[in-house]
Amino acid sequence: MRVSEKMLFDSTTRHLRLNADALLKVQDRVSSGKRVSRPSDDPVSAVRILGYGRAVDQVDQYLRNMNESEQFLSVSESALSGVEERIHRASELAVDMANASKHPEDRKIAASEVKQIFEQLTAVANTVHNGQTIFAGNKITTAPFDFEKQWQGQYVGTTLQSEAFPITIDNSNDTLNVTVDGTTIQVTLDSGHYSREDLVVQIQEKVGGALPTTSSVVVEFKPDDVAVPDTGSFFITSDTVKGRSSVVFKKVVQPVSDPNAPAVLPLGDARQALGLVDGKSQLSGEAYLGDAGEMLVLVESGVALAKNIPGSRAFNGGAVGGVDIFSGLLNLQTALETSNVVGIQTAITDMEKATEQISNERAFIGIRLARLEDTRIRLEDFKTVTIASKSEEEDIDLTSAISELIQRQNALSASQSAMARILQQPTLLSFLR
Amino acid sequence: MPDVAGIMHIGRQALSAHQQAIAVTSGNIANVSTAGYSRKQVVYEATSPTVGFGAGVQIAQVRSVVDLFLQRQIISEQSSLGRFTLEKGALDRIELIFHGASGDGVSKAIGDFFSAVNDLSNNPAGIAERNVLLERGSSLSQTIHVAYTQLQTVLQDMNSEITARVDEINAIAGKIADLNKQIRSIENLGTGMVANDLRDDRVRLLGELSEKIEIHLLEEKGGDLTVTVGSGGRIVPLVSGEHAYALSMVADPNNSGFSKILSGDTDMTHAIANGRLRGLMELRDNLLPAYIDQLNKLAGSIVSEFNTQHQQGFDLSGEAGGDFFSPLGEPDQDAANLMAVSISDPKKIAAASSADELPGGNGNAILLAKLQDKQVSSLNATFQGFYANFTGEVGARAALSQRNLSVEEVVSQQLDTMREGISGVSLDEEMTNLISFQRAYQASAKLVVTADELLQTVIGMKQ
Repeated sequence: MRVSEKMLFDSTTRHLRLNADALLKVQDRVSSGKRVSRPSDDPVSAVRILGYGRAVDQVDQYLRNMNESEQFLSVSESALSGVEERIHRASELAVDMANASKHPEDRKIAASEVKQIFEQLTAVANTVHNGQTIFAGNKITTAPFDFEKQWQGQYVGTTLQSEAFPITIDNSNDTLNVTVDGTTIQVTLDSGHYSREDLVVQIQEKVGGALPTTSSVVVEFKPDDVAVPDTGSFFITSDTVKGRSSVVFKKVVQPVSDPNAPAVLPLGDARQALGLVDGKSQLSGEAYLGDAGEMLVLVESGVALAKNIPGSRAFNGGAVGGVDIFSGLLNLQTALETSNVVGIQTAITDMEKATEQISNERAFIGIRLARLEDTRIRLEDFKTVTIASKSEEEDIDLTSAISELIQRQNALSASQSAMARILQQPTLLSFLR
Repeated sequence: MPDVAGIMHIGRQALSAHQQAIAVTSGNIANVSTAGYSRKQVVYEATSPTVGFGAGVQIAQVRSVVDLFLQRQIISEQSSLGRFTLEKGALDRIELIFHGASGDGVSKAIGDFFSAVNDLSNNPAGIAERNVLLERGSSLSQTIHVAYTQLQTVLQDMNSEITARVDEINAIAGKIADLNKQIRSIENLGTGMVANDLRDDRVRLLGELSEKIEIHLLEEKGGDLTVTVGSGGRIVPLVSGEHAYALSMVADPNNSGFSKILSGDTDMTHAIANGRLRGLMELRDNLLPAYIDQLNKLAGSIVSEFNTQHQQGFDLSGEAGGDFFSPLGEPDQDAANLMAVSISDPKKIAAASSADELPGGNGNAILLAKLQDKQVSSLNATFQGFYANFTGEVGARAALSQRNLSVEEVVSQQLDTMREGISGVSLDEEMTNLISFQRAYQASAKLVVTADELLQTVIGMKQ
């Protein structure tokens, strides 16, 4: 083939350019450390790298979410541990004071300690963490237990059917012993046939009249179901804030000869007729101002776990028929103030149930924390593997890149020196003459 | 019988012929570096003898050494070269919009946005978290908007360049028509002369033309070259004889006012099969609109999915959530351009899933956070997954155009080398020719001297 001058120059120039180009590319890669810096360098890798990056970012977010959750649960746990300890103390007091050898004076002193325990538990139940109350469910800006507001102590009797009315009161069932705000009074009801409304008025008049000026009661008959207005229970509610009311559990008389025979109420006791025998003391009004909501935290893809314990579940027993701890403590306080041994013994049972209830909640927290820990370990592992995969796709192998760099440099200098030789190539001209 | 005068005549003719040959050789040497130059070769022929004995020499023609087939091939490859060069350049630009594989772009903005949603779910009543979410929403809208604008810019640039190129094509066609006229007038003089330099010029212009638009050539008798463009059923003349038929541009209402290319009344827009113009139109009418479409689709589905879920929740005042992003019309036209956060009061972010759950309820915030991993039906992927695939698509197309270009460059280079081999000037060769023509010139001069001496002798016969 004929070789023209231009061909030689063009060819060497082109190769110089190509070599310089390739050298520049390798240099870029070595300095940036990245094998793929534009999608066109390796499109399939580019997609994968984006995917890995996204996965790592998400894991970081989940870990952050989990921190939040773990903190919350830990604070709840230590609060509940305090609660359990206080309940235990109340239980001790109850057991001690149930002993028949104790004086009413001792019991009054114990009652004031129980009152303090009540207040301590109130404070714990209203614990605030990072500006949020932890036991109020979703109502994080509200203190869940506010005993300043509405509640009064209330005694609720058992259900009376409409057929029971009118009730006849005579001297076999006209005595009623009521405790209001720590004061016990005994009233005698007037004999007669009473309809429901009349009975309410009578009891209100008698009991209200016999109380000291510092206390007052509201007596009502409320239907269990609004649709069936004739069937319901008597409600005796102390009308003072933080009041307590109870119908005294005078000891039920048991015939000595036959312990299996049914108990007989003492003569004149009105409790049977009025359905107040097996009633219970409770808090009226809405003492729990939170809700039963669970606040969820996204701990991994598609998995949201609750981070809080609703106070209604832990302290009020929720809907499953646990025990209302605050009511229990109040009843214990009342029983101690009035030296009501039966009441004290009921309180012991209540405190046992309370301990179990709190203990369950703590166990729940323990399980939840363990699960979060597991998830955390798993996510961290995943993150490590993903980062490694991303690096494999994206980063250069420094050793091979540097050796390629040296190669290219050599190629470039080789073509440069070839060009130099060609430039010096003599033509025919130099030989003529 | 040859006479002395005849010898003198032969000598004179020979001197002239060799002188011309030296001139041609010097022309070749001077143009050793000229691009596209074809070396000229002198063709001698013996003159018909006036007397039976000895013929003089004359130059039959000075011909360009060209391989016409190779020439056509080179012109044709220029079209592909023009097209792929343009494509690579444009796709290099477009690629950069996607920020390589590190993703400091849309993918990260989406991730950051959902990160803020997660933080909100951990503290749904927190005003700080809500403000951050609003900010990240704006930031995401902004990032998408920037990508949209950049794609639009490339699109507009493609369109402006089309206008400029069509003008250039028309100018070159005009020049070729002129050259046709000149070549014809020279070659039709009957002297057998070939207008070599003009032809060279014409070939150069054809190369330039072919780089811009694919052409078909037909050489007519008399030196005219007919140039046609188009393909399929639509082939129109660009240059015919001394007439150049200009291409014109008319706004196409069906294509957002971009121009279509006409030759007379024929719409050539889709009939141009190769050349830079083809690359420009491919990008303007197919590739870029498709990319912008994808971006719109992504933005539109983020807005609609997020808004739909947001409306299911309740804000801090207990009202049902409104639109988080400004709602877009159907279809997702301009979604990427119009996407914006429409909430300014952080309390209006609907994190709770019912009004009773306030203020700690985060049910809706959790559902909003879960959208990040949702397989959106209109995209057939998650938001970030869709964008990653989009990036891969662009990357693959850019890689393809790079490969096409480098292959085409190699082919062009090889053809060029072959052409140089045939038509290029070799200094060694020319030097050798120069020496031989010089000697021939000297010999012819000697002929004249000898004839002169003979004449002197004849004249000196009469004393």
